[in-house]
Amino acid sequence: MPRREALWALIALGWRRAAADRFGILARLGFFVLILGIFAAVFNATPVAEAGVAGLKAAHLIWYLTITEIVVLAPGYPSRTIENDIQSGDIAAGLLRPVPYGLGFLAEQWGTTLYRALVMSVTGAAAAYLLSGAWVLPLWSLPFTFAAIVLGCAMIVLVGLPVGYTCAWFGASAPAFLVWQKSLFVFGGLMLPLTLYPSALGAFARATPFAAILYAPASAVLPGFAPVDFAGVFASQIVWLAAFALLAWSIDRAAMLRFTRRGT
Amino acid sequence: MNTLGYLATLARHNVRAGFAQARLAATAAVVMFLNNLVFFVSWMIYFGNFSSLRGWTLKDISVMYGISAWSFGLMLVLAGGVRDIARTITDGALDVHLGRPRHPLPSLLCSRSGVSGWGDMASAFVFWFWFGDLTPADLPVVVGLASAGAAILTAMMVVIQSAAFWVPKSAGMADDLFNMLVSITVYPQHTYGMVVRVLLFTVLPAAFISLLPVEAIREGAAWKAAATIAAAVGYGWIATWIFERGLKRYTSGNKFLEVR
Repeated sequence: MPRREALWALIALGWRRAAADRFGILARLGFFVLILGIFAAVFNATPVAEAGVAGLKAAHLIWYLTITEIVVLAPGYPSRTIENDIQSGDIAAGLLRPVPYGLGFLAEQWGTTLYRALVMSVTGAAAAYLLSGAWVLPLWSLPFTFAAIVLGCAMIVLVGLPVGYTCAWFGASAPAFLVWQKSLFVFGGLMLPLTLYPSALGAFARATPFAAILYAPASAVLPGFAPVDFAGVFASQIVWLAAFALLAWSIDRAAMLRFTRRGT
Repeated sequence: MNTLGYLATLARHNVRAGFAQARLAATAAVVMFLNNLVFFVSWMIYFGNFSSLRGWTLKDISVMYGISAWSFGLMLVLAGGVRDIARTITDGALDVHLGRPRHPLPSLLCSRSGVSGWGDMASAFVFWFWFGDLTPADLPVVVGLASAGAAILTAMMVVIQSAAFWVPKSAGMADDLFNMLVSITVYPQHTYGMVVRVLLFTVLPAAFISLLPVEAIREGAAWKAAATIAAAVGYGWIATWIFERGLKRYTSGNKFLEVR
């Protein structure tokens, strides 16, 4: 089977696996709605007007957080899967397949993530509407926002590959994962939009790839976001996606060299 | 050896085993310490924009964060095995603990020490004394209440993980439920409505772990501190009772349950 067809088959396999894991998706949705409920209570009790941002209401913050949480939760923890494969030695079987291990892994994870992102977006929109009492996302922007969410998820999956591989050198991927995850939460603006950050920190955060992953897709629900702004969102996402692909490719090469020379 | 001596010996050996790979352990602890501090930045930004959250300020959130971090860290350090109970049951590995002349639960809990918990516990001091403005005189109370929180967290984990005695393939569900509980403890709960509060004082007792202790310290309310300690005893008893009921169903070969 040509490589492209094999990759499509792996994406489809990931999608079907995610769809078959009904309990897993229900648990994920339960956790997601719980987090939204917690933050809706926080934001509804927040004196939002004090921020001095024109037009900003609690509803905007609830919808913003809904999108950032979809991007964070839909991919799950791809690095842990790689860590388990390395620690158990299962990766050895993966190295023998005709599709390179890293590429095959990414394809399957993207299929899984796409399914989850779709289900969580539908659930999240309903939950955000119920919790905030307002629909702040224009209908025309729905497909664009979803595309930005998917690109954000794709970057998280992509970075999961090199983060997981760090286990080969350090014995565990958790330290690298935690550094990556918390940088994403803070500089990506998981809880609050970067427009509410102190100016210097906000400017720095916007220059990082983390903003392209979380803030960029979620900014679509903030007051003042214009249709033309999607061009900037997608441009930043595509640039950083390419940079992450390069990083993943180079670490993948180094890891494969290590596995073939020294074993797993 | 008396029971307390036995528990102290178990805990000591468990903690020492956690440091078998000292460099890895130190890295895990330092990363967790930094992890907690970095995550707190979001709240600093929040209170840079907003004066208070229904009466709570950054100091109150800091104290709550410290209590949650200490509770979670202490549980990991002393009773890290609690996170593996479901898998131990499923794998039939409970036999090792049943063969001992003592109750199996303590040895099961102390079968692993999560060294990253030291980082959690260390970060608690930063939250309490740097951001939270507590004084050294507050230390016994806040450590006592946070340790009671650790007991409640451990008890709830035992209850959740014990589902494996009855429910096949429940290890993943146990992890998810526990993550839910921990997630709730690091967010302010005084903003919730009555129905949610009832849940947080019963089924998912996060309020006893981080809401009641913070209010006890803020208001100097002794009865709230006493209620937290009582909850620790109560949930501990419930956890032991449920584990023992499940133990009666245990027949080693539970892998069959997983397969069906």
